Amino acid sequence: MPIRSFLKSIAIILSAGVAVGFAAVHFLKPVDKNRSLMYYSFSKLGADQNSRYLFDIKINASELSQTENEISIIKVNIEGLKDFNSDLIYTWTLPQDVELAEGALSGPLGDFYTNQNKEYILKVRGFSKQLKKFISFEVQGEFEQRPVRRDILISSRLEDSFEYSIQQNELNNSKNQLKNKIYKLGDAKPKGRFDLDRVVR
Amino acid sequence: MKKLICFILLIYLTSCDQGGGFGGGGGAGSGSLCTSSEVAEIAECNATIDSGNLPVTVTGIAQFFKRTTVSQSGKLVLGAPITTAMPIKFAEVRVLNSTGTIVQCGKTNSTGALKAVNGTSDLQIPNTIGTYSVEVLARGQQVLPSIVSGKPAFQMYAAIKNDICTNELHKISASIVSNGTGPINTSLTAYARETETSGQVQGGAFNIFNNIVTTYQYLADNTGTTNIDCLNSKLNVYWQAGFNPAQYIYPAESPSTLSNISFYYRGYNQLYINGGKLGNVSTADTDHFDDAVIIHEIGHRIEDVCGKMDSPGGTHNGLFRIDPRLAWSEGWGNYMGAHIIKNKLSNINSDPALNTLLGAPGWVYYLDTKGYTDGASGTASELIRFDLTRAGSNPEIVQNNSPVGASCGVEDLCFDKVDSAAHPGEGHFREVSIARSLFKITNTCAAGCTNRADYYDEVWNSLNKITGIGQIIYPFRSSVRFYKQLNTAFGSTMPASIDATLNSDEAQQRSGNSDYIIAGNLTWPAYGIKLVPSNTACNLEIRPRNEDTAVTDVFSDQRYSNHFYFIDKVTSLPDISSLTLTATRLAGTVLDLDLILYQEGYSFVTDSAGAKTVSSAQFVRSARSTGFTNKTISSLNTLSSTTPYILNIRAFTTGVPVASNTSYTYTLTSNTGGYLCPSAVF
Repeated sequence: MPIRSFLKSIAIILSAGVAVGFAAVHFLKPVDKNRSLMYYSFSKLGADQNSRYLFDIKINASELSQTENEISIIKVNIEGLKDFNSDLIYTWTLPQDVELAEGALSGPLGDFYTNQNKEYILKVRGFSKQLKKFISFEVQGEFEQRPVRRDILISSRLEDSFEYSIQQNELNNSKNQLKNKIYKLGDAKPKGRFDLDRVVR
Repeated sequence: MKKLICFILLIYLTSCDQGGGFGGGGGAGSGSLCTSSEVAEIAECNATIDSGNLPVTVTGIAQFFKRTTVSQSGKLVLGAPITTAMPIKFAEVRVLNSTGTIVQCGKTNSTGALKAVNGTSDLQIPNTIGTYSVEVLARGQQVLPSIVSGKPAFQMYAAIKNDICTNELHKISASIVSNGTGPINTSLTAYARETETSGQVQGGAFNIFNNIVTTYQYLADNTGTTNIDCLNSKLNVYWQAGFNPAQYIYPAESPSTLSNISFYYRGYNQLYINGGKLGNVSTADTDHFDDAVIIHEIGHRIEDVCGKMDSPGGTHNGLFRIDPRLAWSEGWGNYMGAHIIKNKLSNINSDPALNTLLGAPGWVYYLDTKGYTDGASGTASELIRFDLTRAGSNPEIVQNNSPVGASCGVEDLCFDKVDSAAHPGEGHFREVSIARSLFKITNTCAAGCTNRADYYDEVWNSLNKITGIGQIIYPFRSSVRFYKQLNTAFGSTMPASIDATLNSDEAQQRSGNSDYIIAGNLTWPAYGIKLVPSNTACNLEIRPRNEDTAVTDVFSDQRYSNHFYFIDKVTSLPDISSLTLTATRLAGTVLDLDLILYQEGYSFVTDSAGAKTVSSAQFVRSARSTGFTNKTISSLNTLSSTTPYILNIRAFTTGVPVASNTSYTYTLTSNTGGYLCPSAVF
């Protein structure tokens, strides 16, 4: 086999390996329905902690407009971690100068079963990349006589924050580590700076 | 085939490193979290620079504003800034000329006045005509005086920095113009509103600094003649307005969904104070003006450097019985957060309206708020508030709609409600209960609350590493160990008022209390009591229970379903090679009773939803086979003789409905056939 064809084959194998590897990891990762407390990131509130037994919240790829006059679409995804039927209420809080274009500002969260995903979408005007503003999404109520409360904060200019800088740097580092790993079998795991055992809050 | 092997190998290589990654990073460097190399903190300016003949004196005051605490619909929240600024005490001062060269160093004194580095002489600069910049840094090193004569000197030494990457110190500055003669007067003010500070809110940095100074001042005057130079090392604090330091811990997580926290980084003298989220300080959870939260974290640092911190860290929220080491450490932090404010209120918050709001008892709260209310801007709410003078049987309701003073009803979820009669000793597993007992002991609250310096002194002596539980001979520290030590500090004659709080109010009966003996059986051996050989069997009984009906799948109740014994190979059990548990069911549900051996510094490994954890890196030895049979752990002779171990007798209850009358007697025997019993001396 000519050396050029051989290298081409290797390159294709490597590329396919990376792609399938990522996908395989995602799909083969076990769904841990009984996540232990240590799985969750620290939170200070009992009500917040209670929420983490029930559901997880993620921000889906929102579509933020470039100018204040255009409509932005905010999407939040909630995944049930167990079956629950509750009176939990969700509430969006908009800044004064942000106008609701479509969607409900509050409503019942509804029933959930394990691994069920629901999307909550809001369309607004006046929330764009042009100006830094914040929209919050909160779930609150009681479940089995326990207070439940969880909120998230959405910034129109997430990229301006120091948190974002740290996150992107971390994701880039992880990516680079992974890229290098294909060629360097002896690489160590990427390490974070903080040892969780030393974090006392 | 070769291609297939390569392909599979690549899948493996790309998948084996998912998750994790906190393998002993460390706080000494910025690691991989910064986009560029970590910048070193600027050098300290702590030596007098010769200003030549006829120097010019610079006078002035450095001060800061903070948001005060106000009442909003019966809740305590952050309001507008105080109207009269507070002094910035003992902070570093630098004077720079127009080229940026430092021409003089100094510090502020106890009233915030600009002084030379000795804190008393005038601050002087050369008589060169020109424009100068006077800077006051949120950094200081100051020997603190004490009202107690004969107390060895100690120092406050701290720096408040923006982030771990730039190590930039927070500061305020003022420009002065010198015509070559003096004095030149100036003033420097750190403001609390974003609008006054371009979003920097320097008042927050100086408030954190002031909390450290004030806490140390309290300790200087209330710890007798005990040497507290354990505090001398530098405390590095990282805080940035609008930034949530949880991102440092979970760098890959979405910043929008990460909960806000402040924390202490054990072993590294580092505090991380929550400044908000994504640049938001007006509606987000912040802690820079939540004095109780800041001092809580300072309390962790104090325990770490002056005592010994055994806390395994982890989740806690004042709702459930938790690991007693965690409960103790957090209880101490909660207590310090309230107690220092209570007894140094004018130094913490000079707002006269706050005194009126608080009334006779003064400040008796642990308080954590979110956002603020300030005219048309901000949205305030109360996240956590508990009154440390409340009875253990009637603490404050957790629900967000409970006004100050509301009673805890039968169906209410309250902050660590305890029942001394039904659940003796459960307070040792509850952080808020521990905070309450410490507060009640060191404050006399019969008619308004007043500081009991004499009792605080003994509390300190019982905590520290000189005479207290910080000594190396006491592994597995918890409140039950602390109160044993407090009794010793009182000459083995614990004041009746303290025992009343422990026995009848907060369910923290001391080791050996008769409440733990039922029908002749010891139902709760003190956490971490030593096992010693015995010629006769001891009457031990475990009464397993489900921790909580709502979260049964998650917790193994450490008060009821677990007993813990210190295995001291050196002094008590040098010849042990195996240990056997034999149990007899007296009543109730048939359960597995197991043995787990941990070593010092362990994380308690719980079970989940009917699934027993049979192996863990935390287990030094374990016997967790299925079934109610005798259990034995062996090869104990190969254990290190220098490591403290703790034996966990565990009833497997998670996910198993446990009858409320369930009880077992058990014996522990060694390889020699002899019995092992809890020591008579704790």
